[in-house]
Amino acid sequence: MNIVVGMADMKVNDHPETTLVTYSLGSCIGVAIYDPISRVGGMLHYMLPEAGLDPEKAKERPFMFADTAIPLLFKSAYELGAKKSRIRVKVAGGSQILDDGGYFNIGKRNYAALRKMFWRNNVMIENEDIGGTINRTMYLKISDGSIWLKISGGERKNL
Amino acid sequence: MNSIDQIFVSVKSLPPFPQVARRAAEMLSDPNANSRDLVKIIEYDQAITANILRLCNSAYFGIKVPVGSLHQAIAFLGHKNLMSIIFASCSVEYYRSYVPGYDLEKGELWRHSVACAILSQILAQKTGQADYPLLFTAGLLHDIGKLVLSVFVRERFEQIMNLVHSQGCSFLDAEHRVLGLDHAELGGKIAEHWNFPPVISRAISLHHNPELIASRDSLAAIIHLADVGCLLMGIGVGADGLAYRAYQHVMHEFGFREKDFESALSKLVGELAKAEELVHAV
Repeated sequence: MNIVVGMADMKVNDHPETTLVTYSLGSCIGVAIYDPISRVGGMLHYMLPEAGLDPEKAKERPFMFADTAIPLLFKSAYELGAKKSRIRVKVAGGSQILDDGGYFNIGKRNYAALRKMFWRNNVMIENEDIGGTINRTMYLKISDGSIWLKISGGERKNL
Repeated sequence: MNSIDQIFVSVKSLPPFPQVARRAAEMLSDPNANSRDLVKIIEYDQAITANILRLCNSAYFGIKVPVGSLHQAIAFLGHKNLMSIIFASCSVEYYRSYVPGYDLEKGELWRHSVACAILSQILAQKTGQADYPLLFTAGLLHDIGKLVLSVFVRERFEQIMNLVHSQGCSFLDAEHRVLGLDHAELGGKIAEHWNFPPVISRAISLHHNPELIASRDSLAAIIHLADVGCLLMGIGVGADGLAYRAYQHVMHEFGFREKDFESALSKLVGELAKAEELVHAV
């Protein structure tokens, strides 16, 4: 069964029949994590890099911002039995509109925010598909941890 | 017949935009008109009436009590929201199918259009400028050209994408080079064909165009920013992806900083959730 992770949303799951899916990432970033021993998986779809933009909004919707969302994703997976040492991490999204001045480079800043947090917390990214002008949908199958992308107008691609 | 002529033939075969919208718009701008006359005009079209009654119960339009009749709807809604709902009720009929050239599932282009209309309102509030009564409608119709161009884009999709990949063209420029015109320009022609006010056809045709900056057309500029925002957020984005140009001069024009733009995007999620009836009207 597909469980949809909306925009500014996060889901964790340990039911083997579940597939987590987040549609149409654009410049947003999808983070998929999976512990192959406990078979716990989680997926996050955040929109913007920093909660400092609007701390009130971040309280109401913590999954909107990278810095409030990413710790909650990991914490929720730990609560279902995942262990940090075993977690595999894959990320996708962060696309860019054609913008010479860099004014609209939310995709790039979203990715930078994630790298900064992962570096500080010693989290390695196993695989990623970032940037370009394409639009990605991301899937995570809880039974075996397989993660794949569907590119709008294109083919399925394993990540 | 060359491809431009064929495209124009397709425009002529589009069903005409319901008369009720134009007549209601005229009546809403006439200080002597009364609500009984307005109800008479609208209820003549039963499909549109049904759409209006469904849409005005959307939390987005701020009516707290369930609305069951056109009289009630007109009494509770301000003119601006009433216009938005009437045009939305007419527009939705065009967005009911899969859009093959851009690989947009049924309802996705409508979702993009509704999100653009809603984000345009959020941005307009931030400009602190006068009210734009037709902004919402321009947002709903900004990509109407895609509906007609879709079959032509599908036929030459590889050629268009080659230009995007090999020469760094925007999808719009590539459409123009391969087909002889692009979806924004075509959308403007469709709006003219439907006798829409020039302010709407101009916003549609300029929404990706660099002439937008020189035109200093505020309504078109807000639609450009709202469209860019929805593309970045991946709302109703298809095979063309984010391969469009964003013009930062438009931001300077309104005195917007990056933070203002991001803050508008952060408000979009909640507003879009309130407009669920509108999004799911297809």
